[in-house]
Amino acid sequence: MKTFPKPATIEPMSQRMNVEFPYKRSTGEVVGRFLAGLRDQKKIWGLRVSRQGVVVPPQSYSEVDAKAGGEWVEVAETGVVTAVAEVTRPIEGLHPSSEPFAFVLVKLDGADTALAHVVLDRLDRLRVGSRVRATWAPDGERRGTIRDIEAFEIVD
Amino acid sequence: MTKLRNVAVVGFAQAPIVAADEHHTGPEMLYPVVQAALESAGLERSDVDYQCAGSSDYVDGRAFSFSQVLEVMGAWPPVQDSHVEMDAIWAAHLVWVKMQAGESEVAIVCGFGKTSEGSPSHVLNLQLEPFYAAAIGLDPTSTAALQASAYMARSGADDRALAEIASKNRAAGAKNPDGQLREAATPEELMATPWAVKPLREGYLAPIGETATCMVLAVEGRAEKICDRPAWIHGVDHRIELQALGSRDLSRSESTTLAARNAFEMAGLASASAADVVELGSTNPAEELILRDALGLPASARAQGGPAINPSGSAQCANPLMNTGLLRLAEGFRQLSGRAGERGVPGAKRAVVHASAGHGLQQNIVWVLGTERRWS
Repeated sequence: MKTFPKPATIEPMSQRMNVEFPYKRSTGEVVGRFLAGLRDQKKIWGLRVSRQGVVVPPQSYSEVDAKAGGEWVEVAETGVVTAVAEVTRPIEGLHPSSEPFAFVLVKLDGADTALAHVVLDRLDRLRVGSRVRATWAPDGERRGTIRDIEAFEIVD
Repeated sequence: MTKLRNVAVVGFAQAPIVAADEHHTGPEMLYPVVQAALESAGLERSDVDYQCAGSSDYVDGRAFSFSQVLEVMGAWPPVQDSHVEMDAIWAAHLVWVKMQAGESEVAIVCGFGKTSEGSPSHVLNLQLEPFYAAAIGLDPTSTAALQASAYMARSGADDRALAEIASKNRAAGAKNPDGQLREAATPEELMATPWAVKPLREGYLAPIGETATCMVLAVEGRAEKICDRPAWIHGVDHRIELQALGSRDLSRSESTTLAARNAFEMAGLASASAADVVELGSTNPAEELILRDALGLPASARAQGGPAINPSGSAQCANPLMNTGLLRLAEGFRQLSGRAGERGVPGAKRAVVHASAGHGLQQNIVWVLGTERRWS
């Protein structure tokens, strides 16, 4: 068996490599329409698809039976939290806030699936079952991404 | 049930699981492990007719990263080689299928990945759907915490219930010389650790770890000659959940239930409770509780009787990416073949092994192993 120099004999060396893969991804017909609704209308649209009900955020095909198409349905910007993950030490360059925040899944009123997003304030009051409402990035700053919804805030 | 070909796990080797091996490249970590696995099985490289690895380009930071270990596994003269971009336990499944097809008799399965060289949180974020999930910055600890919160809301399990499961695993892990986290801790000590991502505490999670693994599988007729006590594969199945985190019920693992039903039917095993050992690929106590629920096992860490659950300490005590699942199958082999040392379950004859891939138990595989051949 080949043997390698023992750790004591050489200092371990390393090279820093930043591997980046820049992409420009087409948002497609369905995701694109949803994101345009956020950017241009401040409205949240879902797609009523086969055997899943109103899917928000929508996908191009039913996840259950792969059928395409369906009716676009506007859902409310309010909903109920179905899962909470409270981040006390945000990860730089990945998380959407440098202050403690929470990831949440929100089932919006009128939707049958839940949307992943964040809650930034009043985390001590946040729990599964909390009612929340979307807050929006200002006009001119919405770019057709999921972060055009700035966050969700707890509704009293 | 159709009569299948008897296939067994006949050898296994691993590198120590460490936070960072700064002295070796990934292939250098794997090389002595392949040699040790072959040596333990008394095999030459030329005895192996098929090889399959599980690794991830994103973990390794290079495209087609499997190609860097071809020579380590033994690529010449030209061999049948394959690869899965998944935990190596899925490579073991591919080998089993290949053997059922009559195309292999003795094969090796390798797992490798230097988790410490990149940032697992950033890397595994890229595993998610790009526009809705990755774009919001989700990382695997956060998705695990979302899942834990959904389970706790449905079941009423509290922080103490999680701490008790975690403490039980830590006590088992302390007896596992091949693990990483080897200090027992009481529920109270674990409940005093800070939140990793609430409701999961740092004490409930494995540290970053890396290793390299190699398993040898062989068909009936070869297996008995290679290994004194082969662990025969009685059944296996794997199933996947809906893709979107918000489309499925995160508080349950339907795919585990279905995979288990199919694997148990193949194995002629009535239920998970009928096995002597159950080894689960849960990386935190909430996942373990969800999996216990899916497999009809007791929800309490204090339940008496029934199979030994997670004698290795589970993935909660060592979670080296790409190897975590194969280590579960290795634990099943070690338990049934008298190679589990101090943590061995006396007289164990059948083991249920589970492993998972993706965020929040996205995909699940269930195996049944036995000390006797299933079909003859």
